Amino acid sequence: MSDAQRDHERLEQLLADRATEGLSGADQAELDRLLSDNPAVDPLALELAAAAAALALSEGPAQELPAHLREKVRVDAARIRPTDASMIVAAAAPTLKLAYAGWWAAAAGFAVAAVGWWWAIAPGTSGSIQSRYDRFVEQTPDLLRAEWAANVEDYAGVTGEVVWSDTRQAGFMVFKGLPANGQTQQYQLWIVDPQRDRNPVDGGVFDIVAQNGKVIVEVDPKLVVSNPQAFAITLEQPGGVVVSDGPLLIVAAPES
Amino acid sequence: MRVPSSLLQRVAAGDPAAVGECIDRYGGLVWSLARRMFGVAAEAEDAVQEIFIELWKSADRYNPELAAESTFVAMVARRRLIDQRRRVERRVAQAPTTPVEDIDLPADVPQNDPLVVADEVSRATEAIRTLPPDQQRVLRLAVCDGWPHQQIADYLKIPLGTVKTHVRRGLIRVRDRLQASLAVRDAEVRS
Repeated sequence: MSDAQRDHERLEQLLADRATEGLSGADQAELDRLLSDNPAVDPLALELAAAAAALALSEGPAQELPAHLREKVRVDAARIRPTDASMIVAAAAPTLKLAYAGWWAAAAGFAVAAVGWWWAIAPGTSGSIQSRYDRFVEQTPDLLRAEWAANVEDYAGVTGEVVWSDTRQAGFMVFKGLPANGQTQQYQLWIVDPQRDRNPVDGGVFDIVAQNGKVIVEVDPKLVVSNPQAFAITLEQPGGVVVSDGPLLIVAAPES
Repeated sequence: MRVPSSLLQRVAAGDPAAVGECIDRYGGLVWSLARRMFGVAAEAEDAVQEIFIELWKSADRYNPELAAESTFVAMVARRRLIDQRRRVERRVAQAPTTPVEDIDLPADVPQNDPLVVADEVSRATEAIRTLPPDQQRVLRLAVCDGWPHQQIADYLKIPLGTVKTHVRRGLIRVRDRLQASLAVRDAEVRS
């Protein structure tokens, strides 16, 4: 078997692993590298196959969504996707222009869909993390940026920034000099949103496997964030915690 | 501007009725996937909220030319479920709902359930039927019951590498069948 064939098989194995049980930080980094080297490979095809297989293998009718959960889902939707009667008119008459600036993000989304329909949905998606970050920065109208600053002495050499979009409910963190977290801890992002809660929102856990060079990590907010005032990084047990006691290692506060 | 036709496209466009219709159509699907992977209802509820948040955020990314909406919803749901399971490092050890030796694929795709009439599901069923029985068992435990590969290996008493190979080959078989179906559909549209 040639090196190219071995790489291709390894790439497909990582994609199959991701589609069924997820990847470690090191495996995700290897997948990103292999995808960058093999741009013709569709990074989503095996995930779609897994989804179709899951539906095919499911037995019996779907269970009914509990009423209280349905209400929670509806409330979340109202926060993220406020309805606008003008959009119905716009949808029915394609020549009409969108009336509200906030909906330009939706319009941008349709444009993006022609290029890549999935790129900003969740970590580990199509294209390299660098290319997804670049597109996000270029194509997000309400981009918010804040630079990292050390909050404890050991992290004085860390530089980089966080970029965030309320409209997309997505963002990226860029780090240079953030130390590797090792096997027993993981970094965790916290998003301070006083309008939502006095406790910060969990922005996801991530691994730094090497100290050298620039690292880009996608923000993974677990709740809707409407007006972030600051971002902070802590070191926690693997998998993260619900409420952190740890020191804030680095912080980033957007200019108001 | 494209005229929204799918439910998710209507959600993205701000159609007031679309959110409720989307919850009606896919709430049961998402809830069922979550309950299958998380035996504890509270954990499944958290997962369902996260999945729908992801769907509302990504509604304008859905492209009906690339996948059926139910497949897209299931993909988003599965990704979030896997992510949550890894995050809390929870390993679901509950037995599958039916003995793995007795896996039975539906003889026909039901015509009265909009969730399963999607073309992808029919094609996936066809592809899975062509797999050897041991590969079908592994694929079912991995994609339907959400078992980690090591757990499958321990349960079936086969090497971890064999589990991974079965999963990879099974998904490739399904992928190739779906892509062939898409190619036929594209050719029909062009002709």
